Amino acid sequence: MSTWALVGSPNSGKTTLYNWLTGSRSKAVNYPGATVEYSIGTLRSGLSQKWNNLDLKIVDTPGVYSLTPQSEDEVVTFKTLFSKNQSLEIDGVIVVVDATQLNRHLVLVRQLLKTGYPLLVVVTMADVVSKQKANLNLDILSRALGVATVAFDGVLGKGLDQIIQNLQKIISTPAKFSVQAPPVWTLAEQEAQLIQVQKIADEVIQSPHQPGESKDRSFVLDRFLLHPIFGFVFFFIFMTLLFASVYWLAKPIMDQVDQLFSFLSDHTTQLIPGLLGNFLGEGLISAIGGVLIFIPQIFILFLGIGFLEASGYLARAAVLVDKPLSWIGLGGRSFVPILSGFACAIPALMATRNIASRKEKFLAQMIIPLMTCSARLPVYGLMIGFLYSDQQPLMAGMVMAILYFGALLMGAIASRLISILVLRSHKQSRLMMELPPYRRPRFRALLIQALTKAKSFSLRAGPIILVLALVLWFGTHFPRPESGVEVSKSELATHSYAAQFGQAIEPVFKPLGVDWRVGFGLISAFAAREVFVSTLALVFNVEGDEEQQTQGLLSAMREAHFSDGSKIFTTASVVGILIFFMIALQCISTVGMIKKETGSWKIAFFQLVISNGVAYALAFVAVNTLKFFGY
Amino acid sequence: MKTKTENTVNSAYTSLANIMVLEKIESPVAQLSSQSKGSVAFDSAEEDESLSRVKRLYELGLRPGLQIQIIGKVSFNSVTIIQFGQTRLALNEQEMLCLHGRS
Repeated sequence: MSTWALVGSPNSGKTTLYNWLTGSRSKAVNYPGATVEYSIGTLRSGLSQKWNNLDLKIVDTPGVYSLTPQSEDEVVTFKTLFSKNQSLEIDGVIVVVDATQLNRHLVLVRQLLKTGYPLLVVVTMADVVSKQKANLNLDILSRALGVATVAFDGVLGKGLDQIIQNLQKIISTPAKFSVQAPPVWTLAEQEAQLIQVQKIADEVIQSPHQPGESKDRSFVLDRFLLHPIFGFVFFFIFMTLLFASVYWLAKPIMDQVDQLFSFLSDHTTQLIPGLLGNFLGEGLISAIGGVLIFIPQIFILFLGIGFLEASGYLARAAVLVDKPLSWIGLGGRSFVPILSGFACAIPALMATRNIASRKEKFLAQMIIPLMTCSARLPVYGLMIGFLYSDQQPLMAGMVMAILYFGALLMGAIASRLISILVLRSHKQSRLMMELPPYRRPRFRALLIQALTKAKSFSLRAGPIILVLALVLWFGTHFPRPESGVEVSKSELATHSYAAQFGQAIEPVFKPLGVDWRVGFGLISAFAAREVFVSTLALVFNVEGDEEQQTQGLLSAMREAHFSDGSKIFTTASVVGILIFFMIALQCISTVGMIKKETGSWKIAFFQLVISNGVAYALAFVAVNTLKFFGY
Repeated sequence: MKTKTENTVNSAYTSLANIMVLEKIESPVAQLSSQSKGSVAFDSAEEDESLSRVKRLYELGLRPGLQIQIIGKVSFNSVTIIQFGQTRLALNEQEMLCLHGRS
């Protein structure tokens, strides 16, 4: 099998070509020791059969501007091509260059020519050049570079056969080659290269336009979308649409997934009696459901991000909010992942892969769990319902708004503090963002990309989340009663290891004005935050459907007392619970995802400890201050 | 044939945009360093970062002698959009300081 790497600058059309070559026969992999993913696939079966069963593996490397890496992404591409200690042996390089950017992209080709790798140059956007009434002469390009050159149309797939034909020709006449490290040019040499490739580009593309004249009409849209005032209006509209689709579009699908797995779980426990049925139903099936329920949000979010990126707008959005985000140590590319955190932290953390700067990516990963995700809403709803009845919707709404803005404020403060104290960085991050021309995205390519991300989540983060969920199931369902002894679900829960642990650490919860039952709820909430409500219903022995549970629970909360007769749920203790939920990292799925995206259990554990510690401290201060004033 | 709207927008663009020919691409740190004559110490990490910033500007296609167009400023005037050929770049304040040229 021959393995070829696709190399090119960002936005050159590498991934489009990759999707045409491999179809869905691809998987995303992490480069060893890095959190950057790239894709490896095999030639589509139809294409392979057409070309004498050509056995070809394609590696889609992260985009690079040169072979002198300056980011984690570029290091991965560099190592893929030049590292001796790796499992992947590259037999050749397909360099993808944009016909409208030849005066820059050819410098990368000239760098690769000096490495010894067999090369095939693929020129994309030739259709754009012809729309601009310019003429692209590939023969001149091929002679100037000394390698085969093929034009490829990413929309229609024209040129695919010529690409494979050329690859087959190179593969079938193997020549020994030794790979050398790429040249590291001085600034003067770099300048000389740019002048030379400009001359080549001028010969290759014969254009009727004057040099410097804006040829791409799509840039006209920047007049509106990058307007100092209206730019933000359009930005707000697009981000609202993205956020709304992640939240509202995914919800019905997630509800269906939830119902399906509840059905499977219930029927399994009924069909298979005893502990085995319980493990399979309430343990394994529920845990699997707990992983798969995120798929709709991940799919929709990455479909949306993919659309914004492929259309050319995402780069503009990042530029628009770059300054405001820089005040808290972040950059423009952090905005979409952080916004997504308001729906769910899981896909939001995955979206941080788009952030090139390692420092900004880390900061975004640290503050995303602080964003008010949808899982917190049932808890907020219950606690606010306790504080304010249905007759005070304005006050209830105000508290909800305070919680949302409070989370944003906490995120901003956390980002600033981490930036200064942990990363010790006062410097402005790099921007240097290329604004690609606006293009109509290919829906098929977007679908494949979104499906790949969803698949990657299931296979990578899924097992971590699954194991943690099973540990929690064990803790809440053991020890089992003696054989022959019937106990209710509520009694089983209140005598479980998790409950015993909650009782043992009750002194920890007492300063927050609550007892071990709320503590048990807080521990159970690690499975999913919304489980807090159903756990409280369990320990307070409240039954019924969701609405009945809530009403019954509110009554039970108003009646709940400590052994000394004082009330457990007061304004002070409820405000404490709200503050705790606002800040604490209480979701094992999120912990698993942080580990996956940072590559470190240490960071995930650190974040868990710090956020829960800060949440506890602030809740403690709030509870005791309110108690002092008689609340 | 261009429509009336495109003509108006394009001419509005041109009248607002400044054309500049790059004479030098050098970071402020490197400039100060060469002017300091040893009297000011610079953090080596900062110098390395400024050099790699300049290298990246070259890799993006900028070079002395190139004619660029300043399209406008966004994000509270902190980001400058420039264009050369069919390439449009967004540069922050630090990055713009590396571009020295004449109108």
